[in-house]
Amino acid sequence: MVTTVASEGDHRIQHYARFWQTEDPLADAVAAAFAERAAGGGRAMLETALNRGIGAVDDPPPALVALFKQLDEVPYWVDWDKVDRGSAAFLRTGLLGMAVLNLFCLPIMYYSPCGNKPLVFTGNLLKRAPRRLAETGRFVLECSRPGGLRRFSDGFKTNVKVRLMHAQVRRLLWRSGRWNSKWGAPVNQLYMAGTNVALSAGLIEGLERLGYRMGAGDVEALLHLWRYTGYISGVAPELQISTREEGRHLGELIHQLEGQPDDDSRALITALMSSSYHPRLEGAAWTQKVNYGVSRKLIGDALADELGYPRTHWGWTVSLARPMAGSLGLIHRYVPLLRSVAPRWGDRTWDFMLDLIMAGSKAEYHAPAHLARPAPEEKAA
Amino acid sequence: MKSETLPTLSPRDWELLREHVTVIHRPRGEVILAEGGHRRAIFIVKSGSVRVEQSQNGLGIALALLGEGEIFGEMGFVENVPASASVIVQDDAELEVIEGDALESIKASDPGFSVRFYHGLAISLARRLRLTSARLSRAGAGEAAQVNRHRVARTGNITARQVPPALGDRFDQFEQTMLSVKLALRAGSLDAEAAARQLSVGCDRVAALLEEYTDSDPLVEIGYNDLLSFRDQDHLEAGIGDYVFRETFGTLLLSATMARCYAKPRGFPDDHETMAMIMAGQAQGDDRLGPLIDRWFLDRPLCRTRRASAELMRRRLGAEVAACPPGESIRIASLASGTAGELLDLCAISEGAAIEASLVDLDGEALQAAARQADRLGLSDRVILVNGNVVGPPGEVVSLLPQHIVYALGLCDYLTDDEVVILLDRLYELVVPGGCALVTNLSPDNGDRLVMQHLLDWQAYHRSGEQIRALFARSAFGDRAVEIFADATGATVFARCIK
Repeated sequence: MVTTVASEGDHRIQHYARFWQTEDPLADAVAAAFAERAAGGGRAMLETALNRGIGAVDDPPPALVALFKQLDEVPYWVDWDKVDRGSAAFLRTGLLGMAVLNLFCLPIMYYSPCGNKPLVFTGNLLKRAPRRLAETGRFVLECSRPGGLRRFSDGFKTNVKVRLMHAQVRRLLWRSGRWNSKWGAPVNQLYMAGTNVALSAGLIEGLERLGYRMGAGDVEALLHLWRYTGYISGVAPELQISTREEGRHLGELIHQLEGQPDDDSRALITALMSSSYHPRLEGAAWTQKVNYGVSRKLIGDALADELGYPRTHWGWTVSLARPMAGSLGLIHRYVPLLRSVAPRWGDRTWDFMLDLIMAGSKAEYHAPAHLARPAPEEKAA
Repeated sequence: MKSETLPTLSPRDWELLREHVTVIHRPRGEVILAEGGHRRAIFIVKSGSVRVEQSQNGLGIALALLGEGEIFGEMGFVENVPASASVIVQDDAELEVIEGDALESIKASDPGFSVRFYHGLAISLARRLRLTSARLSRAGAGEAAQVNRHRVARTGNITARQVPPALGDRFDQFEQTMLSVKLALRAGSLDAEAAARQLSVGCDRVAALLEEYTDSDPLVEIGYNDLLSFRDQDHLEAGIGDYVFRETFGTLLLSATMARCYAKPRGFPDDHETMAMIMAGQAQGDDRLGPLIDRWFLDRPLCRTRRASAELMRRRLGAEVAACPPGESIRIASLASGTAGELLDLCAISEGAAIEASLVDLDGEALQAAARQADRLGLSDRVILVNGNVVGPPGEVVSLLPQHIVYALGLCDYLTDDEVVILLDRLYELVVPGGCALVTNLSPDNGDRLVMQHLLDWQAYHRSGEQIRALFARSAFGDRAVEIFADATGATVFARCIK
């Protein structure tokens, strides 16, 4: 799929297509080294390195030392004041931010027909959609908390763990014997960068579509926070974005490389939209309709149709929310008292909601028994 | 007269020796040197062959076969002690004998001869010592393919979070089934047949669970359950196997055959007593459940294929023998033979054909059992038992006379690809032109592959016909046609090639 587009002569796409096959050598080497130890051995080393520093690890494998050399080195461009401002800007969004994450950011991430394969590699993995929703939310929250990305903070630790989990996913999928290299590498650089863009520039875009506008300084700070998050996550420097414009270009590039969503994208969307935010709401049909309606309004009809969204009448909720969200944005920008207390409220709201989602994530969904898009070898067979 | 064993002797020395040599002709079966006997002389095989044989529990087991140019008696000459093994004529032999007195007289007349003679013997003995040392230092590595002395620890492959809860539930059900059958048998409320059926269903479920949870998709999902444990698919498969083993160990090993397969008292799984139990198919075991579980196991694909492949081998050997010109003496060698019941049976029924059987095995006990069986069948004079390795470094493998048929039943199951190629090269070397080589290997269709690996700690290589054919192509057989066929169960593949 990449080669088809590249052959059309777009040199920029050709240049970036290589990231389709690029993984994360530092993290992959650690996963390989840890695989040689007994179960739990690698995790214990990782915890020590995260909590007490690489120097506290007894006889660390060279791969772990190399990874922490990169992690412990804070890039020259990191401005901690700006990171903290980005953190506050995000937390202020509270419930709105969460809605945008679930109904705008995640759907555009799931759009990716190749990037979504690790999430649907077996039919049963779809059942994890609600849990993943809560885990993604938790990851975003911890990265965005004040000081969350400082070396020994939870956000930093979670970020490193997620990076190594991705490395382990790559090992598992490559070794399954069923990964199709035409999908690129599992959890490749473009996918990691795309996720980073979706959770930063994408979140800002989604909030604006909902009527909530941040000030230019806050936007810049939030992007800065996510640029450093990308650095910790192992996103290649060339794919780390500093501006919304860069994010938009990268998003378009990935979109051109990936092509149209497939049945797996639609299956993931179904699982996401069926996720309940509260155990009591589990199975309530109207919540699904609301999710689809709001999400369609946010991502637009074209994408929604491609992703197989049913048409519902609940889009009006967005129209209703826009003036309120807009007002809230203005208050956050111009009312100093509320600007300073809103991050704390937002933090609590996120915490509360994530606990609710996690409690509801035990629900299971009907999932196809097999991958919607079979590998070419399977097709041939 | 010249021997590689005494490389330091000059042509003049050989001239001197020739003056004192007596050439003797001895018929097959004649004892040249008797174990414990005292004869001070050096013998050089001029033609034919002899076998060096040691008595084990009153049964003669060959340690080596010596052919043209090889020497014996030199150890006794140097040490002047009774012979540690017998030397018996294998094939009508012509021998050159240098009596001890004659040798002493040459030594006395030519001091230089004495130096060169002992130098030659020292080189010969040093060579043997080096081989022995190498063998010991490898701690039996040459036999590792056939002898699995050490078990690996069965922990650390999987984390508690990765064990699927549904799997635990299934084993709770298994335990309940076993317990209810046991209690019903004790109370007399269930007859043995009904109990066997219930138990068989329960045990089949265990095998099915192994299949289900070691498939690629479930393993990926299990891996996802705890990514930071950094477990690859092979770890996870082993971990699931470990879990199932621990959950069923106490019950399944009530079966006498399974317990023996697991314990491997001889160091390897297919020892002759285990095979005898599988061949007999008589269920045994402890407690009320043991015999029933044994019955289940004896009817599993593994046991069925072991029986079927031995039977098929017997029939194929019979067909090969039948195709030979009548009245001709036919040499058949069984490598890693065990008791080679199929070959002894064939010898017993093929009275018209003069079959000369060579059984080669590392396991002296198996050979003794074979010797007893040969004795019972009145075949002792037609069976040679050779205690040694068939795949190993040069100098360590046993030598055999050229054979018309050489076969290895089940040996490839324990050999790596490279070792199979070495084995095939060895077969090629042993078989006369026009002779036949036959090997077998467990096939990937063996329905007990996972039961063997995870529940019985029985590691075996499974190969398809095509894989075996490819190994033949890599061996000295080259592009010769290889006939592939399977036993009645389809779980064992046979490969036959004519040199």
